Amino acid sequence: MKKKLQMKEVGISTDNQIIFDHFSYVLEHKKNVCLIGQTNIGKTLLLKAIADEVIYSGLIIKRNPCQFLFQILDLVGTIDELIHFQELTSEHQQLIFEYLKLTHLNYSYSELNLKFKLKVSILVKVLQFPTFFFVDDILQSFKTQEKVELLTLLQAFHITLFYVTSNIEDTLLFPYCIVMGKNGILMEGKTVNVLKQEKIMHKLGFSLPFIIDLSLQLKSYEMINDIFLNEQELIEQLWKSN
Amino acid sequence: MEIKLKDFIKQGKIISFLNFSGSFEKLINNQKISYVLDNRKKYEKKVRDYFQETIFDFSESKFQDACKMVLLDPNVLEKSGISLSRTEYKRLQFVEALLNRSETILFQNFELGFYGKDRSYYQKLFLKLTKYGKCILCFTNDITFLFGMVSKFILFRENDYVLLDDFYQEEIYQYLEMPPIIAFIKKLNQNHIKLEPYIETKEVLKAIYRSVNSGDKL
Repeated sequence: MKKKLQMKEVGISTDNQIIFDHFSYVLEHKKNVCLIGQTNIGKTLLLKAIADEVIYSGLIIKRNPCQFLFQILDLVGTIDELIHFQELTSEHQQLIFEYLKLTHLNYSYSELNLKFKLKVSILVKVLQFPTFFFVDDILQSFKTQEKVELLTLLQAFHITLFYVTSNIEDTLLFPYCIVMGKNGILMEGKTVNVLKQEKIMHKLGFSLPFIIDLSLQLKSYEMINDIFLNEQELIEQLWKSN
Repeated sequence: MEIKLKDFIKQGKIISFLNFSGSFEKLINNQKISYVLDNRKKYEKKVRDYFQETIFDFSESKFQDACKMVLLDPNVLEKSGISLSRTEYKRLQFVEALLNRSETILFQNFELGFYGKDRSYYQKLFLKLTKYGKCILCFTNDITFLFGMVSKFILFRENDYVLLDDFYQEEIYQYLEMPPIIAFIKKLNQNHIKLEPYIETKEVLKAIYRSVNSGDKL
């Protein structure tokens, strides 16, 4: 059976106020998804519903293991103790060493900087070997390259990431994007196709990732014929075809 | 690193700080300062109870006005602190700072969690507040939040800090993510296409148009 997580007509109310409702989506294994939405639309609450941390209406069917990360964990001990390094296969050990970029693992968690605390928090969750990993808008301190390294790590562990973000540039790291609204999903699809809906995105108040915004505007002036995600390719198209 | 905030306070100005990860030394003397922090250490009880107990001369109409200014639903007054979202929590601290008539407001990663339209609104609001003589201390790791708001900023390095006035300064990006617009212009320069150090997409668009039409080549 295909691994998936189903959400049917999920809704949440707090303090007698409907935050959102009618959210339906089937999350499939090996298909990383990025969720965006206006401020206070209930993105975090949706994750908390999936984690059974809040009361919700509708149905969430989870048949595969899930892990959640809402904030940097408050942990005690050394990295070695926290991730039980010796119990892992040599392949997994190597992946983790490459990810952490540390020469040894006997650093105390409390002495790590925020970025390493976040990395270790992620690893603690990853080493529960979930099928689906839900992460709430906490990777802001990561550079793009570090986010790519995280995605690579998760892929190596066969973990599907469902990431909530308020950083529109993050969407470009994901093949699939969902725009959440008060009455469920407003738009979903391949990320580029969603972001190409310039008018709708602006009407909703979203800015666009720089490269998409620039491509769309250049296209509207008929200077290019397509949307470019790679800046070097865009540069070559503009100046070499001149 | 611990910093002495009083060294930076200038009324009617936005002072910006990048890459700060230390602690804030509490102000002494008679400087009135409010903190809008990106944590959840303040409102543990019902919001109404907290505000009525804490704010001198609390009035519901002033609370509603302040909420309107920071784009917060005034019904938050009837909520409990623990049920607030991350952005509600920050905006509520902002409301508290306004009601306290604080001369200086310190924001820590305020823009995190807000999407495009809201971010632009808060940038304008910060500028507006400086016109009323407030000092805004803006601590962030997202340099794009400073675009259009300040021209000088303080970058924290390993053991010290430096005042900079150029968003294109390479040193910044040893510590922070380079915004795509800056990465793009730098890449153009590497390709021998010279564009000014713009920080707005529409300016880049115009410059590209001029460059391509003038026959520039790679």
